[in-house]
Amino acid sequence: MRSLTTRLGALALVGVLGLTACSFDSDSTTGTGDGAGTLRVANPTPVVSLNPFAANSADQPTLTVVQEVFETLVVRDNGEIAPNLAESWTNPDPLTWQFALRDDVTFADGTPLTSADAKASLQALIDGKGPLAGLWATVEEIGTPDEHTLTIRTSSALGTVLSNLTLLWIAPAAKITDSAFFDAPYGTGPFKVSSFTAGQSVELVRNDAYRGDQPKLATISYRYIPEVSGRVTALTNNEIDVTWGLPPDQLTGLRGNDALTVQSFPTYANYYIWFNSSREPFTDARVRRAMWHAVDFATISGSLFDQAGTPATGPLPEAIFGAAAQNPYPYDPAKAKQLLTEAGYPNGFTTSMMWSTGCCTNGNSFADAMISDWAKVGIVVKPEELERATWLDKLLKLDWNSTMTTGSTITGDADFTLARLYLSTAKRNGYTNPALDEILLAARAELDQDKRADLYAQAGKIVWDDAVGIFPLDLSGNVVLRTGVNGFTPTPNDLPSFAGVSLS
Amino acid sequence: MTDPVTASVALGTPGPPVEADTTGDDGRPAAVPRRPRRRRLRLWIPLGVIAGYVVAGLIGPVLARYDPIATSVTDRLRPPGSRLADGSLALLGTDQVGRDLLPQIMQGARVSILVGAATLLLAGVVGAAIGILCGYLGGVVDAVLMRLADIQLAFPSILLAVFVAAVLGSSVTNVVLTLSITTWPIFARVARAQTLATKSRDFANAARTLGAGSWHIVRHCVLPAVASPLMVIATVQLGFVIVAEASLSFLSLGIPPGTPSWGTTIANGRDYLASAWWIATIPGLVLALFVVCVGVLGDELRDRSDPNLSTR
Amino acid sequence: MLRYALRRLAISALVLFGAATVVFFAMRQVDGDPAVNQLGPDADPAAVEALRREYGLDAAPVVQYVRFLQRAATFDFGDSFRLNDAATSLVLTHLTATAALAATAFTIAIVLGFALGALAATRPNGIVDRVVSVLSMLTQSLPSFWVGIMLILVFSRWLHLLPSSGAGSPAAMVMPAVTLALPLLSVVLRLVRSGLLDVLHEDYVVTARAKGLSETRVVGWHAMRNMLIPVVTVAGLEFGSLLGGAVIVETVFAWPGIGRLMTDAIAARDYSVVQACVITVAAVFIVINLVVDLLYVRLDPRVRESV
Repeated sequence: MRSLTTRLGALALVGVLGLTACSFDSDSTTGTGDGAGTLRVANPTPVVSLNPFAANSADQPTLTVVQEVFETLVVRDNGEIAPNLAESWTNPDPLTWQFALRDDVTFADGTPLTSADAKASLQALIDGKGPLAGLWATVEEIGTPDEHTLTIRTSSALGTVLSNLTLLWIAPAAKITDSAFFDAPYGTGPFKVSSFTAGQSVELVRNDAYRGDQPKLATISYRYIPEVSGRVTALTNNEIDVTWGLPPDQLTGLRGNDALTVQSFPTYANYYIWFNSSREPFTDARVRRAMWHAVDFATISGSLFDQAGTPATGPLPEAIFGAAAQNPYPYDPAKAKQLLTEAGYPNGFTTSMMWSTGCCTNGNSFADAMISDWAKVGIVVKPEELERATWLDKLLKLDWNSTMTTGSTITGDADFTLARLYLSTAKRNGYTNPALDEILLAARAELDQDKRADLYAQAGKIVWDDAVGIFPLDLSGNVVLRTGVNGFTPTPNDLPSFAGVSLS
Repeated sequence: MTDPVTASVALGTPGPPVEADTTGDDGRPAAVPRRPRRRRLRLWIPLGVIAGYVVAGLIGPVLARYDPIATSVTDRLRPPGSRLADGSLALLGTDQVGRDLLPQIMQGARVSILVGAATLLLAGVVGAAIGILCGYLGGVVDAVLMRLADIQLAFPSILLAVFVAAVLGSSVTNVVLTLSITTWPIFARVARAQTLATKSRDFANAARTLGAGSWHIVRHCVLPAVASPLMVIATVQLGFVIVAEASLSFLSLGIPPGTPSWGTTIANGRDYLASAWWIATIPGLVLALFVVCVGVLGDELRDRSDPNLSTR
Repeated sequence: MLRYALRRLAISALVLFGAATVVFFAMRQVDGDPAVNQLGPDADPAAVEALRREYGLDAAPVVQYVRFLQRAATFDFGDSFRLNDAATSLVLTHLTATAALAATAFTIAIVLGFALGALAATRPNGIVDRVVSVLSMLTQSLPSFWVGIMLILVFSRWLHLLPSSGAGSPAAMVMPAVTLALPLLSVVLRLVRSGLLDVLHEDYVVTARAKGLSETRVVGWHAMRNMLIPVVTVAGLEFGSLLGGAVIVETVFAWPGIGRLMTDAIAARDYSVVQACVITVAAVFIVINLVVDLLYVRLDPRVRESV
C-alpha cells in the first residue's frame, strides 16, 4: 500500500512540475523571438479609447498612442510653436486666424489631406464636449476658403489658438463621425492602428504612406500592466522594452542595471495641495501660508523623490510658456506658528486632506510626510484616500478642506492651467480674486505672445503669494528603456513618442 | 479566499440539520487516536501565541511610544536591524516613510484583532438572532430571511466584500460592517440548524408541556445548545475575517491610511519588493502565524466541543 | 428528485432577481457620477448632461430599473460607460480568462491534493503526514495576496524564472494559478487523506484484500475510485469560491479576469458592467452550487431520502 500511494503521489507531482516547465519553455521562445522591429511598450495606465475628440481628448494614455497615428497643424518644439501640417499662419484681424496647410500630405488610406479634414477635426473636438472643448469656446466660424486654407474666427480675441492647436489631431473628415473608425483609426502620422482591445492592448503598424522619414520600427505593441512591480519585473526579464511612470524608488534600483537606461526629464506636470479658500480656517491667507512654512519640503522631496522631481519655483513648472519664478517659502515652523497665532489659531486646528487612489507619484508617502510635519505645529490633518469617482464628486462640490493632486499643463501654455483653475468662475478651490481674473482674461485675449507671458507671470505671483495652494514639486518624467532601444527623445508633455526609435 | 465553511454552508436549501454535520472540511481520521499530550499542546500553543499577539497589540505601541503619524523620511527603507537617526534600533527595519516596522506591526495587530473581534461579535449576534428566530418560528419569517442569506451566499464572499466596501467607502467601522454583512449567514445557518434540532428535543418539549413560554425555551434550552457551536464557528471564522480585512485593505477598500493594519502595511510594501522586501514580507509572516494559530485552535475546539461539527 | 430540482431552480431565479435588484440600487447609492467620472473635472455641464442622457441616467430610478430588468432578461446589460464595448461581451471575455485561471488552479489542487493526501495517508502521524498537515494548514491560512507577492519576489525578482504579470503566455498562468490553488489544495488533501484512511477499513476493501487482490489493486482501484467522486464534488463546490477568490489574485498578477473587471468598473461607476458582472458571477455560482447539490443528492442516499 505504501509504495503505491507514494508512487501515485510522486507521479502526480512530476506531472504538475512537468506542465509548469513546458509552459515556461514555450514562453521563452516567444519572448525573445520578436526583436526584429517590434517595440514592446507597457503603459502604466490603460488606453480605454483611441478617440481624441471626445471624453478622452486630454487623457494621457489615449494621447500617447494617438500622437503616433494623427498629426497636428502645429507642434511645440523646445517651447516654441513650429509648423507641422500647417506651413504658415497669419492674423488678418485680431479675431481671425488663417492657416496654410501643406499640400503633399495623404492619410494612410491614400486620400489627400485637405482643409475640410482640419475643419471636421476641430468641429469634432468642439462637438465632442470633452475636456478640451472649453479651449475653443469662443470659436464662431471655421472656414475653408480653399482646399489648403483653414480659417478660425473667434468672438473675442484668442491668444491661445496656437497652443490649443498642438492638441488638435487631424483625422479624415469622411470617417470622423463614424465611431467604429476609432476601433482602428489611421491618420497622417507614422503609424496606424492594427488592433485595439480597450483597457488592455494596442498594436500599431508602420504607415507606409507617411510623408516623413519612415519609422524604423515595424510595429509598436502597447500592453497595460497596472502594477509597478509587474512592469519592473517585465522590464528586467525582457518581456517589454520600455515603460514609464515608475515611482522614484524603483528608478534608483534600475539605474544600476546595465540592461536598462533611465531617462529623466522636466515635464509640464507638478504636484499641488489646494486649500478650500471658501472654508474656515483656509479663508485666511495666513493660515494657508502657515501650512506651507510648516513642512520641510526640501528634506521630504530629497528623500522621497530622488530625481523624480525638482523643487517648484512657481505655480507652474518652468518648461511651460508663461511660467515665472516666485519667492520661495522656506521651512520655518516658528513662522508657521506665528502666522497661525496671528490668524487666531495659536494651538493649531483639525482638518483633512483628500486625494484619489493612485493620483500621484509616491502620493501616500508624500501625504504621510506632510501630515507628520503639520502635526508638529499643532495642525491635525486626517488623511482621506478616496476612489477617483468619489474624490471628483467632492472636489466639484467644493466639499473638502484640502486636496492633494498632480496636474499637467498639457498644452504647454499657462492659460490651460491658470485660466482653467483659478478664475473665480471656475469655482475649483473657493478662491476668488477679481484682480487675478482681470489679468487672466487679458492674457487670453492678447495676441502678442511676449505680453501674454508677462501677464501670466503676474497671475502666477498672485496664486503663489496668496498660497491658494502649496506647490512643492515639479515632476520629472521618467522613461526606462532596455539597452538596444535607440533614438528615444523625451518631450515635456510626458507623452512618450516612439516614432524616431530603432532597435539594435 | 476559500472559505470552506461558507462554501459548505452554501450547500443547500434550508434542508435537514445534517448541514451542521457537513460544516468543516477537516478530515482528521477517527481511526487514529491522538495522544493526550499532543492534544493539550494543540490547545495551549495556539492559545499562548494568540495571547502574545493580544498583549503585543495592547501594550506594544504604548511601550514603543509609537506614533503612527510621525514620519522620518531620512530613515526610510532601512533594512531590519538598522540604527535610526534618533539612535533607536529598528529591529524589523523601516517602511517607505521611515516609520519603524515593529511597533507598526504591533499597532496593526491591535487594529486587525479588534476589527476581527468586532466583526465576529456583530455578525455572531445578528446571525445567531436571525438563525434562532428562523429556526424557532419557521414559516414565512424563516423563508424570507433564509432566502436573504441565499442571495448573499449566491455570491463569492470576497467579491461581495469588495462590492459592499466600495458602496460604503473605506473606514474602520465600514470594514467591520462589510465583513459582518458577508459573515452573518454562516452564524445564522448554524444557529438555525441547532435550534431546529433542539426545539423538538425531549427537554424542550418537556419544558413546553410544563407551560414554559417561547422566551423561556429559547433562553434555557436553545441558547445553551447554540452557544457552543457558535463559539467554535467564531474561532474558525476569526482567521478568515482577519485575512479578509487584510485583503480589503490591500485593495485599498479596507482600513484607511493613517491607521496601520497588516493589510495596509503589506500593500505599502508591494511597490518596494525590489528595494525593501521586508515591508511586505514581515507583516505577512506575522499575519500568517496568527491565522495558523487561530486555525489550529479552531479545529481543536471543534473536535473537543462537538464531534458533530467536525467532518464525521 | 425532479421536484427538488425544480424547487431549487425556482429559488435560484428568485435569488438572481434579488441580486440584480440589490446591485442596481446599491451602485446608485455610491458617491460619484459616471458621466462626471468619464469626462473629468473640466467637462462642460451640458456635456455631462448629454452623457447622462446617453447612459440613460436621466430617467427616474424606477424607470431605469424596469428598463434594466427588461433588457437583463435578454442578457443585454447595455454598453460599458468606460470601455467601448457591450457589457455582456466584456464580462464574457473576462469571465473566460478567470475560468481558465480557475480551471488550472482546480486541476493543480486536485492533482497535488490527491498526491499529497495519498502520501500523508501512507503512514498516519508519520513525518510526511505531519509535514503535509502543516503545509495544508499554511496553504489554507496564508492570505493569497501575500502568497502572490512572495511568489513574485522569489520567482520573478530573484530567480527571473516566471513573468510577474499579464496573460500573454502559459508561463504567466503558473504563479496566479498556484496562488489560487493553494486554499483548495488544502481542502482536497485533507479530504483525500481522511477518506483514504477510512476507506481502507471499509468492508469492501477488507473483502478485496481477503480475496487476495494485490495491495495495488486494492488501493489504486477500489479505494481511490470511491474517493474520486466525493472529493471532486466537494472541490467542485469550491470552484465557485475560486472564481471569487480570483479577484485578489487577478489584482496581484494583473490578470484580466472578471474580478478585476468588476473592481475597476465599481471604481469608475460603470454601472452596466458592474451589474453584468454581479449577475453573471451570481448565476455561475448558483449553477455550480445547483449541479453540485444535485450530484450530492444522487450520491448520498441519506440526503436523497430526506428530500
